[in-house]
Amino acid sequence: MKRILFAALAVLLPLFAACNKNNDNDNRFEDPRFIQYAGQLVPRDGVPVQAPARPGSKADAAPEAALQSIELTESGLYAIGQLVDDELVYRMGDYSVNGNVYTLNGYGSLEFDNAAPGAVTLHLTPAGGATKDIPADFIKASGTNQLYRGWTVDKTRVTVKGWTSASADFAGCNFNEIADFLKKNGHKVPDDIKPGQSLRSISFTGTEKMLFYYSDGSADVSAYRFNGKSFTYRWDNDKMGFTFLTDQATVEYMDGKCILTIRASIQDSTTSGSVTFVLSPMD
Amino acid sequence: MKKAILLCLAACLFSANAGAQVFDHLSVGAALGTDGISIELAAPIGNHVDIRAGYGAAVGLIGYTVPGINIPEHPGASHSASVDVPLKINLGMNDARLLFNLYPSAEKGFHFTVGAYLGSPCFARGTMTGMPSDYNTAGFDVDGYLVKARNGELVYELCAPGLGGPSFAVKPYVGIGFGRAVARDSRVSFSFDLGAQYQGNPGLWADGEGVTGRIQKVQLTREQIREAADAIDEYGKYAAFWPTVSFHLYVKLF
Repeated sequence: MKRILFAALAVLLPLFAACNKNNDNDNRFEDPRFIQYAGQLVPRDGVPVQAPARPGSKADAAPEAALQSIELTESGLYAIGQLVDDELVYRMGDYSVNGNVYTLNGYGSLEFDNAAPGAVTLHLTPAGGATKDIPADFIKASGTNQLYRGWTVDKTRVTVKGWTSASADFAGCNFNEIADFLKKNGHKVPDDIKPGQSLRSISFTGTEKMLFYYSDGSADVSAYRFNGKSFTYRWDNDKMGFTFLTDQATVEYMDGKCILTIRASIQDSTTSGSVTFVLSPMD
Repeated sequence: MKKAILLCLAACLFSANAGAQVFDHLSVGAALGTDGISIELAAPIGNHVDIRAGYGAAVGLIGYTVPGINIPEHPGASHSASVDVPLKINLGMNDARLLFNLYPSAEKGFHFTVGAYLGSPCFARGTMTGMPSDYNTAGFDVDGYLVKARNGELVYELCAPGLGGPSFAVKPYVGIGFGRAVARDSRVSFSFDLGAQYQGNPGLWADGEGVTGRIQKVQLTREQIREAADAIDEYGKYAAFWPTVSFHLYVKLF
């Protein structure tokens, strides 16, 4: 779904033919609720487990698939990554925690010794299913950077810079709304966007994972490296539909918001662009 | 500007040296002119100088509507169906003024006026209404500020800072006039002023919205406004000295 945002880079180009920023980078946010419980669980081998149920379907109807990782974010979101037909697929939801027991809403429960990083045994119990004991490594989230949390998307701004600059603002990040704008402005967009599909939140974890959480419970999870202001990541170019020459994004804080700007220079084009998300802390 | 200030100071000193009364009267006035509708307080500094301080605005006054500006319904698709939207052009001044009337004669009303208009640099405003909804979404990006329509209304302003800056204009004024701001022998007086404000070459400005919703006035670049930039260059030079004609009515309070 991220690709539709970058498709917007192209549609703004015809605008060119038609017609002191006071940053406050010292914004401090309260620590997220589950900062001490966050981390990443990587199974020693791809044990098949039941997949999380899609919204509206029964949990016991979900087929099993090899477990690749479980991300537990600082703001109480989990993402279960499974290998489905050789493709890494993530499903997300929110969790609550009591000691070593995590209740994964929409999935079941997870229990492991979360006191320290290292080798652990996961006791993963899908709703209505049997418990599986899975050897895994627990990578505990490190650092207390204010970026490491879940963020809701207040606004999405798509900007194209050619010989002049044009932008478009969208409240939240509703893919249908953006796609509708693109279509009306003469751009082809994928026709498989589900009604009401939107980007629900973006999370950054202390284990350097960036999670895009969509309204249908699916997610994109990618690794990044953060140096305090900008971070680098690797786009899946085939999935995006564009070849990006840069992999840089910046983070700044302004007016109580986190501003995440992902910049792209499109190959074989003099045009560059960016997608900016205005984010509010989830908790 | 410096000369005008020095002239005023010299006049004040001259008046004081002549033993005349300073600020012994006060008049309140209202005015109408090409600088808007204004209110003023005026006081004498001796027999040869009156000081005038006031505030005036002409936002929305004296308009002309261009009935049909043709724009594409979707800004990103120049070949999409076109829509005619009206463009209403109005005066847009909104400023304070500090002026000195200098009377060569202690009894006659003829005077020279020097001083300055202080405040908003913008003096004309163009409003396009009924813009298609896509114009509420997309627009020009100026240093991170998005210039777009709001609720179907797109507003541009012609602004010139004079000797000031983008956010606060200082526009020197010189002129002549007839009538006294503070009449010596009557309670009510009229005056007429004719002069010009220096405001420099104008540019096209608009409110831009930052990503967090912060609004800031930004100047559109030549590349963005294209033909409009040529027109502003061609005709804007005539607005570098804004002709100021105004009629005043004063009532002496004491």
